[in-house]
Amino acid sequence: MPDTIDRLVRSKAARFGDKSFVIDTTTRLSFTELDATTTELANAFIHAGVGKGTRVGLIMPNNVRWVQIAVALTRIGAVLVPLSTLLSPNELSAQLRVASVRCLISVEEFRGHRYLDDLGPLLSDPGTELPALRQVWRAGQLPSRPVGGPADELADTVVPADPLVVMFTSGSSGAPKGVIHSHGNALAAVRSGLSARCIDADTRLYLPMPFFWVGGFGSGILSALLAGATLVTEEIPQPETTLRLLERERVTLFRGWPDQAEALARRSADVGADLSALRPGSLEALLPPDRRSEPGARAKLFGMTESFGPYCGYAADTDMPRSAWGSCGKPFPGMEVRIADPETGDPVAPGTIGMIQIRGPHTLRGMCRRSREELFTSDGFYRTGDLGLLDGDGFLFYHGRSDDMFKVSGATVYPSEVEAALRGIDGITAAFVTNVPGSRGEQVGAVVVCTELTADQLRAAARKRLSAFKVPTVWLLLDSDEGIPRGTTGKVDVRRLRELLAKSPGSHR
Amino acid sequence: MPASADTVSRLIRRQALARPDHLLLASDAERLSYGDAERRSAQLARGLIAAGAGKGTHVGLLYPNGAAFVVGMLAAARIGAVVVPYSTFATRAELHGQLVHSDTEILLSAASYRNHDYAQRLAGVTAPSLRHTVFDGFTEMAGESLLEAMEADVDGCDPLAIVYTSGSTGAQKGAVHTHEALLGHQRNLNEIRGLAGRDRLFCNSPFFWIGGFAFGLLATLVAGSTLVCSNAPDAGDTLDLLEEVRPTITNGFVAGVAHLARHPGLPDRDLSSMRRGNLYPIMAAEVRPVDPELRHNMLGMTEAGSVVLLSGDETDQPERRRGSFGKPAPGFETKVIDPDTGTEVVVGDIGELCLRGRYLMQHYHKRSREECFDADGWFHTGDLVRADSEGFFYFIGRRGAMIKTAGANVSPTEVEKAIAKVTGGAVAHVLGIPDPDRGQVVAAVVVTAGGAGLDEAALRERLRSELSAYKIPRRLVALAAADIPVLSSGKVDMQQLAAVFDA
Repeated sequence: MPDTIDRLVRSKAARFGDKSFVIDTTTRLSFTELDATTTELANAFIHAGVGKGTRVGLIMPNNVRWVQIAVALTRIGAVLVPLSTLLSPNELSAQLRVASVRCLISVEEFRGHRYLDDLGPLLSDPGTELPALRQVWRAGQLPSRPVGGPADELADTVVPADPLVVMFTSGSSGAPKGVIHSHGNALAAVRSGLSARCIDADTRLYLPMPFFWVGGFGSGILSALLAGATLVTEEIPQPETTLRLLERERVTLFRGWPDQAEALARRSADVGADLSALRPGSLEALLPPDRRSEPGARAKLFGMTESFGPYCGYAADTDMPRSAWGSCGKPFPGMEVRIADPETGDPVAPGTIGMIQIRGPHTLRGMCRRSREELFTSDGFYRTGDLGLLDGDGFLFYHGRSDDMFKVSGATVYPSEVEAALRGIDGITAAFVTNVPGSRGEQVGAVVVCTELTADQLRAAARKRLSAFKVPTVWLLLDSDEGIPRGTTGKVDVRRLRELLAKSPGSHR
Repeated sequence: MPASADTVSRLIRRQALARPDHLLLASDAERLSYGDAERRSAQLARGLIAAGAGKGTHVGLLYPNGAAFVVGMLAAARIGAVVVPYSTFATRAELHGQLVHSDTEILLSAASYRNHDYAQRLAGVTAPSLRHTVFDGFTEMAGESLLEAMEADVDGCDPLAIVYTSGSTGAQKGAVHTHEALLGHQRNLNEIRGLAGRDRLFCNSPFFWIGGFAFGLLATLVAGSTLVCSNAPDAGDTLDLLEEVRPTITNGFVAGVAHLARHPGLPDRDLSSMRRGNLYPIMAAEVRPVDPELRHNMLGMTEAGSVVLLSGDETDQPERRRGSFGKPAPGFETKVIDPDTGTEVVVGDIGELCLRGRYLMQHYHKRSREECFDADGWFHTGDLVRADSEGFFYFIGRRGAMIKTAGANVSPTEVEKAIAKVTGGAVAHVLGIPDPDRGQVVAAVVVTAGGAGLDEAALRERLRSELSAYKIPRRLVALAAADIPVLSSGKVDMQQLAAVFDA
């Protein structure tokens, strides 16, 4: 099985030829063109000093050019460092430093960010702040070379164990985490999830997830490359243009954000886009009602940057067994999942919540500037920081980040467990739980979206579903989801949630 | 200071401040102080930077033991480049193979050494990643402030070196080691062997293999001591050096000092300074063991960053510890398993030594961790050992080298030792020869003066007091030392050797 980017590109070009590999709003690139253009670009990079192991940063929105640059670099064993277009100048320089980026490629401007201008003085004298940085290329002025070069020879020396990419996690707290993946582990991780994600050579996949995160690079670009599928993407999704793109490209699989799917569904009648090519496995809101599933019946694919995308799931077009509803499905073949006591690190029995640990050939190889001992247990498990439980049948239920769990009078409260119980109460459409510091220690606080019930009724209903210490003592009732504080990626902002609860008139102190 | 602060850069800067004029290296006529080493390596590092090297660049070193190797290693390590040592024995084809395999971008090389003309041997050799082969240093240099910033940017968890094993069979193996693991391990080992700043270590292990690289050179840098080595073709010159520099401790291969021990002038030399270590034949007479098998030996391997089994006790041991290799070094977990079932054997039984811990290699270059370690993170060494109830380990032999004869396992090492014992020191190489009835039979090549014949019956008779009948060689051949086939690594070529029994 081809297990480096170079071997994969060659074998897919030979097999799929002129079929489109990646399409954006203005450009389409076939498998043959991918092979030819990236060989040429790779030769130019080599001529400009890039070689095996050279770390090259890339700041660009989703488009065909991003894919060409990424493939050209990784074919010859250079290490791609995708950088988020959302980064502030300080965050950007911190990531360049952590990943020891040697060459930087950036667009001039995107959505008001002028990345290179904003880095300014750091680039003119990178010495002390960015000692590894030697070269900066504007995306419109990449190195070029007339013809030929040693790209094929260099590509032949690349093996699956060689590093492929340093991917930064989207997490905002603490020092940036630059996660190192090899060709072998990244491709194996993506391959293990293809069938659950219903991606094969006939798939025309729409994916707006940014390529600089694993959801775009792995679940988009590499998925399409491995499957021989066609990837459709765009720089700035907007309902009308997205609907037209889906129609024009006869997209069969829509894997955007859930709220994006809902927005598109609301607009589709006005726009009159023909989405009949869409098949099950796409986000439900865009499917006709008879093709939708009941809530919880389908697995929520679950993964992280460190596992190079989803490591757990279930066929996206198939209902799970009833007992597994609400779970993330089962670990994909090749991924070992263990649940450990968050404090002692000892494995726990099935059905018990604990820290999720992962191990095996699909997992991260390491992290920039961290030793193995910091990251892995002595027997090789990565401590994910996620909480979960495995049921007796091997289905994984996610229970939030371990940073979110807290103690009340010495007993552990898992916010996700309380949230799940609250959401099961009729009349509650959304619930978010966190700790609220009080004069006598931590309290359980809940923000719920609910118009019909009073706090007393909620408390009574919660008591029937939860042990007493888990029942929220601080409540904030909202009329709609719009009052929930969220970050730029749509994740709930727990810190602001806690502030709201602390100020809430309904809080009991 | 956290362990991650451990880098070669910080180490050489600290030592150069603390002991600028103290000798780091005395190699034949060369003398290199810590201050010199810091200055010269800074110059070379600035040249490397100007040539495009930086963090993660693979920089090859092809030098015999001496100042050029030390300065080259320090320069590359200071800027976070990865040091790839090359064997001075390597043929053109072997050099090419390692240049390709290791992804070396810049090769720093001696022009020649002894009868090796490297300039000629490397002429026309290309490899996909190789951009420069440098024999006489760089003319362009980066600024000092950039060097300082690059040095500060190196972390303890960054790779320091890819050290290739000398193993002859199978695919190439280059063990990737980090700064903090190699330096931390040598700090522990220095404690055990008592290597301190006032010591002078005579070491005859080549710097391009792990013994010389880590247990010799890095150990010296960590201790702030002086490393003594010699490439002199004339044993008399080496003895002059030893008398002048007066090493306090020795380490390396006993076979490598045989020419010194044989030198007719030896009795007139004052070698009384060498009182510790393992090069017994040239050490002060009163500290030599009565029987070397009653001193703790040591076991090292490339993957473990040099020595992993050893003891600080340099006195003669009781008979029950004959052949001991000491105990595991700090930071290593060990277990002894049945190689067929993978389960741990009971104490006292022979099995394969498995290692785990922070000082092991990260992985072999170009192989994933899964290809190097088992699922639980254990490295299977391929070495057969047994442990006693006191925790001492005994090396039995290489797993693949065990002779299986009529259902019994015979360790070549055990038979070799027995032959040496009953003959008063004859060197023998023992191996298994295919046999239609027994699978294999035990065969021995005994080195005799000029290849003079053996009294086979007498030798077998004497071995009866030492070995069970099935371990006594059925085939015996005498060869002159010069006729023993050896590989470029200096190890005996066992495949070629087996051919002497074909006749």
